[in-house]
Amino acid sequence: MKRFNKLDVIVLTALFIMTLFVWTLPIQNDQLPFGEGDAAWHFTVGDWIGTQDRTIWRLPNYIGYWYYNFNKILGTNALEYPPPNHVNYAFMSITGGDRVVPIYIYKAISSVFAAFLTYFLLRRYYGIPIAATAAVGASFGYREMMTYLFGQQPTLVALTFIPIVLYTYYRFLTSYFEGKPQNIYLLLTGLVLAAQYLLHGQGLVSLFMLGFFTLFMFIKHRKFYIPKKSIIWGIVTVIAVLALTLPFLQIYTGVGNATVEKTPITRLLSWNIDSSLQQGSYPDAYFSFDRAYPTINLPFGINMFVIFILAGVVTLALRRKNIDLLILSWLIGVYITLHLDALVGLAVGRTARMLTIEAPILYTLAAIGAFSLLSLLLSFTTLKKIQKAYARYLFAIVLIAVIFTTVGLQSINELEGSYQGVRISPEQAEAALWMKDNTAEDSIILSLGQVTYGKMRFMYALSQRFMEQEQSGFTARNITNTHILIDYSDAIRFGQQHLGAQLQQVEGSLPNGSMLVYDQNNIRLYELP
Amino acid sequence: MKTIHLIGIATLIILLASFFILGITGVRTVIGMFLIFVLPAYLLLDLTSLDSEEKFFIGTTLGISLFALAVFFVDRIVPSMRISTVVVYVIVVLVWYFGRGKLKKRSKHSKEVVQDKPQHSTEHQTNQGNT
Repeated sequence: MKRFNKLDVIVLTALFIMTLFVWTLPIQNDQLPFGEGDAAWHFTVGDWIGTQDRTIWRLPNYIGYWYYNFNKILGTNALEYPPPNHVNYAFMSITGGDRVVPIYIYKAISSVFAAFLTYFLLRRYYGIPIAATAAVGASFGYREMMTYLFGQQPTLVALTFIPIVLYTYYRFLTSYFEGKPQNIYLLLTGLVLAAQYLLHGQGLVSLFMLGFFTLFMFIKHRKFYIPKKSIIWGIVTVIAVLALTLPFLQIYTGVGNATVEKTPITRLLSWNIDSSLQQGSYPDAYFSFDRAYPTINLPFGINMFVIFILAGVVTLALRRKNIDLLILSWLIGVYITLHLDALVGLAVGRTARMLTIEAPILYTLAAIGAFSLLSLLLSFTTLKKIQKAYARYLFAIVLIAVIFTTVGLQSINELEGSYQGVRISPEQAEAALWMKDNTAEDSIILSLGQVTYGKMRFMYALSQRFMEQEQSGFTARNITNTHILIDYSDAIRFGQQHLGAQLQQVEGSLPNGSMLVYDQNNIRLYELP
Repeated sequence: MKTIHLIGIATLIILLASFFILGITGVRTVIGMFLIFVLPAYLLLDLTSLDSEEKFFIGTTLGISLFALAVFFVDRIVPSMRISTVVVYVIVVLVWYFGRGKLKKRSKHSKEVVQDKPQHSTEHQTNQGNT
């Protein structure tokens, strides 16, 4: 196992600055919040905690109405996730001194955290060139990027912890088979698993990888003994994990399971998820292997990246060192996870969301494969050892350049242009802030005119008032709206005359006694009698 | 140049880059991330036999989830998130400070044993942090 040196500091610093720059591109030019409904929901909870200076066990009414009656055990205002993700938003908002930008910086860095953890894991066992190549690749993970933009943050962050769970368990299990169990790593494995669970229950897919690694190690070493101290540590670990997680169990169990049909078992024969299974929920590109990874075309339509992955698998399978078995277990665990819809009937949407775990392992395999092929080639040369070492670093630079000029530049373009013009506008944000300061906390607002659902939801978040776009939303919650917001700004901005005419019609038919309380930038708020 | 000096320079470069990319909000947020996610867990893991890289990476992973949880629990009693954060921080620093003192005493004792019984003590030292 190799310790870090100065070059590691340089590589990690460069990686951090690059990811900070690339992943915060959507917030650099336009500092208003963006994302889909989920992004707005998480933002709303974190923002409430930050502005109120209180962590919460029960949601305030205006957030509780959002997923009304979602939890059958804990009731209408139950948390939908354990506290850490939203408390982190609040921490960032407070330390950063702004309601929006710091939360998005946290989202950006935590979304790409797996790249750093992959570096840590690979650096210690495979050296800097392999670690740096895989980490740079993982830092441009396309599915991670899309999930970050859409806003399913807790799942995304929980799944980034996988390399660390693998590392801590690896350290425990290898020391166990060496006859000197380092039990601290058993406790750390339990704590990291608990940390994943506290962000999102799906993080526990790490257990598949740990299970396969345990199996492989027992088959390889054929040794079984139970050290007394490990039993005690095992009990301590279980108690610690239960103490941390049990208080929040009902957040997950209260939701219940929707009945879904298993996808055809033939899906087990393909790695990718067919985009047709999730039409409408994700763009087709989300499922595209060619979009997600570098395409280095060889004759006969062969992609060199795939060759590198296969070479990595073959290298590991032939060598079968303990660490190689860990990486193979990681791969198998990812395969199982990405086929849970076919294996146990998990909703395909959930499986699709977990595609974010794919990039770190595939880049790891590709890096190991590419450098194995290089070593094979170098073995036929008469180069000196030091020259071979330089060749490895040079090869890493070439691979990183390829990654950067393919998926890297695509990612930069994608992030730079994301949600430009379609996120909440400055005028809408201004109106939302006015509502926060000038309307009662229990105001219920019918909001009309925003061209996207996300815009309305972020007005909801910034105003800290409950909003819906349709009257049926209030009926379902057994409440009545106290205000109506008529927002012409989008109709004017996007030239939607039909929408403008509809809004005028609504405004013309407001009940007598409705009072205009806000009229700025073509946005009007009426208080209803 | 020692690695620790390079880390200092790297930190400065990161803060400068954060400023150029995201302004003062960026700098404050990056510092906030370090104070919330990295430092407390690092201090607690400093009481174990983990090496510095392990403390940093494992600690940060735990810090992202468990520091917030600790503040959440304290906030059930202390009615302010900010004050709860300070309380958790003070507890972590005290645990680290006194725990570190005890560890130093123990490792001093171990060294004395090493001088007396080299073979036994090597094993003792290896296992010390892990049990």
